[in-house]
Amino acid sequence: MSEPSRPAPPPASGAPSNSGTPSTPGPSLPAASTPSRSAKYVDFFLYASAAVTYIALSIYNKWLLDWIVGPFWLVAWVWGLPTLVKLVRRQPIRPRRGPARDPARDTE
Amino acid sequence: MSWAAHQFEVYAVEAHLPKKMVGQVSWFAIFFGDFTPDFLAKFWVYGFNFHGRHYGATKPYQWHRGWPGMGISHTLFFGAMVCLGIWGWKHNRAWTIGFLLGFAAHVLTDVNDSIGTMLLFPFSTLNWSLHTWAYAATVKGGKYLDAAAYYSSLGFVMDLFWFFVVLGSWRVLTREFWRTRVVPADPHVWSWLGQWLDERGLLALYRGVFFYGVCRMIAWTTWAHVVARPVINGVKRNGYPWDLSWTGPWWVTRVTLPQVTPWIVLPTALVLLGGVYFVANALWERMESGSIRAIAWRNVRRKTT
Repeated sequence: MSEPSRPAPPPASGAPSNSGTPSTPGPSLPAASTPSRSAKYVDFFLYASAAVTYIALSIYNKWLLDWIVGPFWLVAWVWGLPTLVKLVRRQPIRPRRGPARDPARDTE
Repeated sequence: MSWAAHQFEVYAVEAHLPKKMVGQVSWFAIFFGDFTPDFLAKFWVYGFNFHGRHYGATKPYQWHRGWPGMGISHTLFFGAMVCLGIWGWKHNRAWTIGFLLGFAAHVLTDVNDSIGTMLLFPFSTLNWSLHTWAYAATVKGGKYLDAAAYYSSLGFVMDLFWFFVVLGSWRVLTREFWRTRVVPADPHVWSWLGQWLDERGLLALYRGVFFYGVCRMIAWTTWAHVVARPVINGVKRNGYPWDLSWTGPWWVTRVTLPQVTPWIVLPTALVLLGGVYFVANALWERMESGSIRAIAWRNVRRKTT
């Protein structure tokens, strides 16, 4: 479930001329990663299982069909489950950070 | 009203931004723009029950889209006012233009039901409707009947249409698109969220609205046609009947508000859509200097304090 890590994080290039958002010093995201083939399968499984469980449960529990619960369900499933596994394995779960780099160089 | 279409629109707008705005318009702003009209108006449309008493609008359609009522929340005029507020507050074109595009998408999509929206408010309080499907939010039927009617009519086709528009631009859902087009427009927000979520979590958050749209479309449709056992005109049925005819479904009482002739609605809506994109395009360059000035002033203030 772990993804091979890349050395640096993404852009945080909110240059004023770009978005109008002041951005000094540049914010940074957790370290970027290029998913391996097995990680892509894991991701697919997580997304698919999130959809199946959410649809199956919400057909009979309509309160789940809510604009907050829906996205939260996906995040809880896709991010929460792997995080839970890491916790059980006593691995660090805080996102790693690193220096900024050009986002255009990031590829799948 | 439209259901999952409003979730799909967010990605459709993001994927079809004018060339010079690509990677610079806030995705969160598009989302909040698309979400705001119903956030302001819809809660009271369905209302809620407390101690056996119903609290909510007595005429949901009047409250939701009419004047007097919260119909103003579904007007381009209101969207423009909010955008002025955002610009005055933050001088941030990424959020101002994003909100405008998301808001306009919502207002223009909602002309399809039998109530429509007040497109030319405040110049006219007449509603503009294409009558593509019946507006079905009622005090008695509540959210369930509304969902059943929508997902038995051309509303379902509308959701599918937007779903396929997003699928046609499927790259908008990819990791690469998110990293190169979505994050750079909102670096601070994503960075702030990145304190808790790793990349997988952030990407799930970005895709979450699409996920919710797909799931609610499937869940409500399944419930309406497989699970529900409604009694219509005294006949118990296995699921609500489909009716993909114009202004369907037939088993819902169609309500309307004073409105213009439907023949001029589509061309007017298209002209307004073009107008919104034209205005956004025209303002984009001018807003850049305003943004830079605002940031420069902020930096000066920070240095002096």
